Amino acid sequence: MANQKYGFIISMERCIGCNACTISCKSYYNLNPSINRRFVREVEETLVGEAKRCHISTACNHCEEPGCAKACPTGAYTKLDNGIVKHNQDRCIGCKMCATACPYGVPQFDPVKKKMDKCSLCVELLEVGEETICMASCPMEAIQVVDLNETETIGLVDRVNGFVNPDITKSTTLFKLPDATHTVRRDL
Amino acid sequence: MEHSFTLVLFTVLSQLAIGGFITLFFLDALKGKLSPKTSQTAAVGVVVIGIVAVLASLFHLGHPFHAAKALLNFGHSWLSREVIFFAIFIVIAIIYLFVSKTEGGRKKIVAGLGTLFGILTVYSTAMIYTIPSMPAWNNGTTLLAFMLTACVLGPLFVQTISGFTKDTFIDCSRYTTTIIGALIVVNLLIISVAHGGSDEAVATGLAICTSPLFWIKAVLYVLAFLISGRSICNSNLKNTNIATILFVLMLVAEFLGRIVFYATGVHL
Repeated sequence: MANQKYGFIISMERCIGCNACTISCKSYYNLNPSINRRFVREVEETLVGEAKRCHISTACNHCEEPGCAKACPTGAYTKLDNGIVKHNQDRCIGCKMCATACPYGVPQFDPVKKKMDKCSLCVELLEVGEETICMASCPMEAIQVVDLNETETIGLVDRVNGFVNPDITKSTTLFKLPDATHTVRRDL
Repeated sequence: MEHSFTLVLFTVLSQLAIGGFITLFFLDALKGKLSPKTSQTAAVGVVVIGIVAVLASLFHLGHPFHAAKALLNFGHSWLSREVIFFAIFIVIAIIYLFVSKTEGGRKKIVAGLGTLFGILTVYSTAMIYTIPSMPAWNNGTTLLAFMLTACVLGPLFVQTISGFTKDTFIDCSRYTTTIIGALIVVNLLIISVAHGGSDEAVATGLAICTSPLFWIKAVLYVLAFLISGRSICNSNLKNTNIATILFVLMLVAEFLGRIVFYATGVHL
């Protein structure tokens, strides 16, 4: 796993906001009904200067400088060599500081386990060469999990309207903006 | 923030205990102005309030019985540092109970160390909340507000205790008036800074200004400032009864202010 840096690439061109990623993740990990590991949001229609309905599907951004890891008093968060920010629930005492410190508000409090919960980037599936649950369930193939060290990132951006400034914790999630030429020209 | 009332209790009570101990350092260990009975009673009060603060903070956790794990990330987490510094502070305050009747260097060293760890605790508490994800908190006003809470409640607490122990009244009216004035200025600063910040900071500023609790706190501040200011030039008002009234007013004001702090923080 050395020299790898896993991260998400989200195609805003493809995402239709169906929430299949959120639901399949929730189902696979048997999450408490009150929490999610993925979030699908609608973002500004004027994103690329054209009227177009856009969505972004995000989870933990597996930041280079994770705020959750700095805030956690028990050291439950670890930035692994492969780029994944791992949450060790055995260490978690449910103080919720990670949720406050994460600019994206990603970690969520599981009211049954009384511990925090967040995306693990399906590390156990990646390790055996399988796709993450969100990636496999997306009908539009809008979600990719890639090795960012081996992926061409030209044409991808790390910031879009509706997504918190990635400079704060150096988010690794990248976005493919919708192609403006695909906009329906209603006047024609 | 969710479940924050326990944090309100912890932060205000810990700052009260630390302020009270620092007052003991100056008035008892350095200047010897307090009777042994007053310093002992105040030191017991500091320890009890400190322990109550710790117990209150445990209820914030999902797993209170695993609270000791919070010591593990001292190298990175301000919360770990706060827990460790405050634990050391309480241990020193307990030691002070035994050395407070003695004279000389040992008492000063213990009180000095307690003061140092108390200040480190308040600093760590403030740094926990000085984070980019909470734009309105991410500036020096958080530290200023927390430090001033300790500065105002501590001396008033010791003055109140001296009233119960029938000790000689120590006039702190100029100091108290100055600190309450500083608190009023810092609160104006908090609102001004918030309104000049990002959308989330502006939302926090608006939420503060529209909170009834904030305005009750503001009235209590002004009332305490007027009473304390009046007592500077009126010797009839220089007594422990007035100090006790000021202590109650400021304690309630700080509790309300801290509730507003947690309730109005808007996340990115």
